[in-house]
Amino acid sequence: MLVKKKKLRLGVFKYSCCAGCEFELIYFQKYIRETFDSVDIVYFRMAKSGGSEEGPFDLVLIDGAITEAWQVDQLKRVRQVARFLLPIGSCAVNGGIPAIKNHTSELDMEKRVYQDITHVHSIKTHPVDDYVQVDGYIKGCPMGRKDLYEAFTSLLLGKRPSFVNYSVCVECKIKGNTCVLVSYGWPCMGPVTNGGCGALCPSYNRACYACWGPMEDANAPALARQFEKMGLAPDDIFRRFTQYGSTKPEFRRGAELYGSTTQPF
Amino acid sequence: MDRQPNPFSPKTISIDYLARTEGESGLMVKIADGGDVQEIKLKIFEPPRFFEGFLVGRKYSEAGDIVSRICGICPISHLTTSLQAVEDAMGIMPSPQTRRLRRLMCVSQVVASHIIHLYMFVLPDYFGYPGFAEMMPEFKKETDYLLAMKEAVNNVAEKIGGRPLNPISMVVNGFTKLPDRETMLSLAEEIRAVLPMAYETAMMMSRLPYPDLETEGEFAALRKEASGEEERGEYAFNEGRLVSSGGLNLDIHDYFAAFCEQEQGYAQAKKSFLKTGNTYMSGALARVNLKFDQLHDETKKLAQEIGFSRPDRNPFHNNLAQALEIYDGMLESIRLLSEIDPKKEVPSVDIRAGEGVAITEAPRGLLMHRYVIDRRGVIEEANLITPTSQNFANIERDLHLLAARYGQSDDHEALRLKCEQLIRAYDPCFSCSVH
Repeated sequence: MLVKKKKLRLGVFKYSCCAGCEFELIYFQKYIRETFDSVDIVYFRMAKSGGSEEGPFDLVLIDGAITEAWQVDQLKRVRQVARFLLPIGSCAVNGGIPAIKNHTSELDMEKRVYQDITHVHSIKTHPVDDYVQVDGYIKGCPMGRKDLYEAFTSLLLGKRPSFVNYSVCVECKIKGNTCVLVSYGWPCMGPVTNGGCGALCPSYNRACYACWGPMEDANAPALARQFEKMGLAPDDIFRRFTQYGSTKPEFRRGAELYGSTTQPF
Repeated sequence: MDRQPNPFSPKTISIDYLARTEGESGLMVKIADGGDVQEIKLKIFEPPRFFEGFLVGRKYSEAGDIVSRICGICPISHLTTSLQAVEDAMGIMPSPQTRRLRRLMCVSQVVASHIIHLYMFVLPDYFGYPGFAEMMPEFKKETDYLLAMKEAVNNVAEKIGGRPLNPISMVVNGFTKLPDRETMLSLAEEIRAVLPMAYETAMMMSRLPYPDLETEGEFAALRKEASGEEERGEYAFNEGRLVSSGGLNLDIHDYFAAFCEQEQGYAQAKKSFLKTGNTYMSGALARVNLKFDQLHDETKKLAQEIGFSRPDRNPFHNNLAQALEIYDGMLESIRLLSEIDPKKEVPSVDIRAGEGVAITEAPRGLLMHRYVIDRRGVIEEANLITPTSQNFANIERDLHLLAARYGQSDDHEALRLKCEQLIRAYDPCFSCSVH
């Protein structure tokens, strides 16, 4: 007799973001059949009508940063009914691009975009782990397929996932890339940025712009001072460390040396 | 939660969070007993994202990478539009090779986006499934087509751009790295291999039972006339003039002379109108209607086979127009991939102060970026107008027509489904619309 495999009960919630990570998920290249075969989609509005927010879920993936208070309420409720919860993509992991707004006052930001701000309910941008405990991070912008695959297979096999946890530099070395920071003097964020992309930008003759966010415990001030020695203007250095992940202490410490970052609260 | 129909009056359709679209929106439709439509509100509740706010103070060289993150389906459109707006501000004219490669990138994205939209968002409505994942076990051939076609067009964006979403090789005035000729030719072969699936897709889409409806707004699109010895102008995506079925024919820099936008209390997206007060539709149906003559001959033949005749004013047929663009886009990709022999060029930039405007055709319609840049290359002002904010008013107007036409004859569930099908037919991106 065939034993029916138990499927993972999946929930996907979107907050403030471009939904690109959800796209990565609904179109997961050659893994899409096995992915959809191994999960029951309990809640995932971009892919499916209906569904229940109440769960319970084996795995919840959170796409997007927190920029409105209702999202916090929902996130906390979802956390309570989720066995595992993972933020996916830079917005959810470290605030991503939406966190650029944190360095300007909310009032200025709202007035730049809307004449009538009474219907705007924004708060400062927060990563998901500011409000709930998370069980790991699927980094990337969009999220990395390797880590996503690792998350699914680990859950199905009941093992602890091992996510990419080294800097972009490591991947450049593995690929045998010429170092664009040392050899060309480009302001490459690779030394402080979490790998997983396969050192994409340096492989394409560009300096890394940190779209995967900070590597844990990265020494951003040292790199920021190096940029200064290379002749970068203070405001340009500030921008390098605030394009992605400036809600995280790693990058904030680099940015603070060359500009004023407002606290995320 | 979705309310049940009120047995008395008015007839109400209330959707708290519309599924299978990009981003977050709800819908409110109220119809009185006599059939009068009392209220239509497309409630786009996607949180404000402030791209126009935080682009201020950022460098021109970051803008493309930042705006790619406005949209997870059309990052290449936002990126290209941003690069072209910066170039316009600085008086940079990119090389013919750069412009053709950008066209190839945009075509690949339009095709990729349409494929996802038709298969994953549209089909489940017409076959009675909550989503495509639930359809997959029954629809094996369709799943094969979806995966094979998507993979082939994604490979184009990945080989040229570095990755299919948020590509990194596209910068101001060029590309940082180019594929070699062999790669281009092998990509062309990959697309050629899936072309019959695009044909089958159009056939399948033409067999779906679309409700009858005639939109009353204008169609607007970018159009480029033939120049030099060209037999016909190319089907415009990145370059051209703004034209409409109402007779508009404008330089893109005069966009604000003909179009305006208004804030809505019930939606975080602004709503665009023609200054004449008319609403308009942009996207695949508008493009195919306004530039049918510029499609490949094979596509025109396919249009005839599926019974598409222009002007087609049924907004549900945007799905058919997308199917035609998938086929045409593949033909165009094969042509470009076969013709372009990439030569190394170094993207150089002389930073200059100025104001720049660019308009492109994103998969779901017209996309405008306007920047004011200072002499150090720092952005001082940014204004972005996205396809879904341009279609917003026309979607509501069509919903009104739909509710008036079917409000009496249809029961609650049937009308609700039609409303959802109509909104989805526009392939809206609410994340973009709020930006």
